[in-house]
Amino acid sequence: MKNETIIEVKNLVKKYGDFTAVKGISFEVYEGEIFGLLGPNGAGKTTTFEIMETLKDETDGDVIISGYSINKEAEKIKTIIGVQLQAAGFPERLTLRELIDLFASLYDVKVDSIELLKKVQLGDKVKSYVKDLSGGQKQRFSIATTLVNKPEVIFLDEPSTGLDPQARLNLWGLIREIRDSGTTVVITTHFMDEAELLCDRVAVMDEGNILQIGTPDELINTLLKKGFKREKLEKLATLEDVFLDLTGKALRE
Amino acid sequence: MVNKKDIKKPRQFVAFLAMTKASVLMSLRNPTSLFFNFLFPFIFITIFGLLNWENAKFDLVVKPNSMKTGIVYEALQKVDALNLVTDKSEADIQDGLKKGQVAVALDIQESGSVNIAPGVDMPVYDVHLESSAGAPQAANSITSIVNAVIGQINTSVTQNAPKIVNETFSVIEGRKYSQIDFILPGQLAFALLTNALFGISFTLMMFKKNLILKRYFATPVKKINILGAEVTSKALIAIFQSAIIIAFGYFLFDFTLANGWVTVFSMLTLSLVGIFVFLSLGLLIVSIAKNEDSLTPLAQLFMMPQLFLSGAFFPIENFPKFIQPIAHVLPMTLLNEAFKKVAFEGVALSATLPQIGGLLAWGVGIYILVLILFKWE
Repeated sequence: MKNETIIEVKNLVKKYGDFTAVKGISFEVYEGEIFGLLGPNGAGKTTTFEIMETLKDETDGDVIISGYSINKEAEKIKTIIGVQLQAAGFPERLTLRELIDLFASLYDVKVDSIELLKKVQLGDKVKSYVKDLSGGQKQRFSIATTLVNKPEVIFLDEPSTGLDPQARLNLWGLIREIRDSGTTVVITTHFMDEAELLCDRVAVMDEGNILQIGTPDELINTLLKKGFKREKLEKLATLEDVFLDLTGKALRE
Repeated sequence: MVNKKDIKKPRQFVAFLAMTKASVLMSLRNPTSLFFNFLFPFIFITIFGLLNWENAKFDLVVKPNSMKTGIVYEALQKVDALNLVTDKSEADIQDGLKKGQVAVALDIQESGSVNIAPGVDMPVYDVHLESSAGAPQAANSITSIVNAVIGQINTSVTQNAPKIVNETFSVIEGRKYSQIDFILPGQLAFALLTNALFGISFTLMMFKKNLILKRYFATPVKKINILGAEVTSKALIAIFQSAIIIAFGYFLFDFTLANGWVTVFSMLTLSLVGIFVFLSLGLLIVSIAKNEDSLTPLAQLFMMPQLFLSGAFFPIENFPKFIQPIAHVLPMTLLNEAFKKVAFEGVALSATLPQIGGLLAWGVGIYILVLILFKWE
């Protein structure tokens, strides 16, 4: 299958006064993939994300999403993307169903809110408030709100932060489902195991620059070709495998 | 590259209505806001209402050399809530005013006459009231009654033929003012002001802090509609609140509705204008507050001067001369005056146009300021 570009980032620059947070980066995201933007804190991931999400203006360069330019057609881009912000809350004292309906109205679309909540395994929580949800449920709900407008791309900023291994596994399953149903997913994460297992392609970012882009396997092979060897030979299982073996993969909430 | 798809522009009013509805639901489900919106004014009015016993009368002391005849004096005599005291000497009165034992002293003098119709002359009266800073509540109430009576006389004389003047007086005669009639308009204005200042500022600060505003910005909804929906929902609740307070006053404490439903409608219209202005002050607070800790002091800063200077609790005449012009143009003063006119004097809503105009001028000015100062992040 030919990889069609859905997001094109071109020489993107973002300056805050004298400080340059993003230094002229360029990359492409393909339609129907899970693309991970990796990097330590302060690498410029969130700034890059917020420009793509139309929340911040770029200093220079451009981002094209589905043919629309971020600096000329931000209003159109808003209608074809879904955005999950890190640590963002929801208005209090509204049920999940009411919130989904509210978000649908912001896009002027109709949505079967119960069906959507079932899709993220919150079918039994339609009348609950967000504050009564567990961490994993909150993240799944937050993702549900990004889907109301049937977006072409969704942006998830550190979606698995703060989740236990079971909830994380469950969330990955949901993100893969979303990709498989045709929506392109762009995520940021600090967790390399998450990037390796979940992302189709990743870009590693630091100090405002993109250092490398490729599939996780390509990036690992590049490193190995340079003669890298782990000091200790890889164990055949990780502590996370032990944890999940002992406590089971079933979701706890 | 993926092909551009045609995008239907989302209709903003759909978003606006949905946000307004959501905001109303949130307020109605919030026990704190419910308390301050509905129960708190009830408690306040109940306390004042219970203080009011059936035959409560205010003593209006008449100065020894004042006229004790003429239409003004006679009209005042007929007011049930007033008891005209005529046996005090000038020295006693001055002493009583200083000590707060005499709330208001009345002096009526005739000063010429005016021709109001061909061949018909009417005497002109100068009515001077001296009120005591020591008895502000009583002074406020008495002054309001006298002003209302004078207002009635003036409108009837200038607008109608002299014969109708007599009929108009019979209305005054029949009108029984009770304590609630002085208290309710001020309480209503006060309730609208406090709810507006605190309600919208805390809601929006929470929206900012929890990144709810930011989450909205990622959707196609226009920023102005987010504020508009908040203002609209808070205004709807305020109108509901006003209606309940008026009904409460009317059914439980015999609040006088001079012209029945017309007065209710006039008061609700004024409430709407008032809340529109007060909400702009609430938005201004959240525009200049650094964080939620500075909201309360800022709200107090806007509330306290209006509370004291509006005439709702203390008569403006008691304040130093240089403060009075300021006091008279404060939004809450304008609203309080307009409420008193329609509820108390029973005038038409159109007679409060100066107050409504003043309020709208405040509102437009402050909303413009808010749009300049509001920090979205």
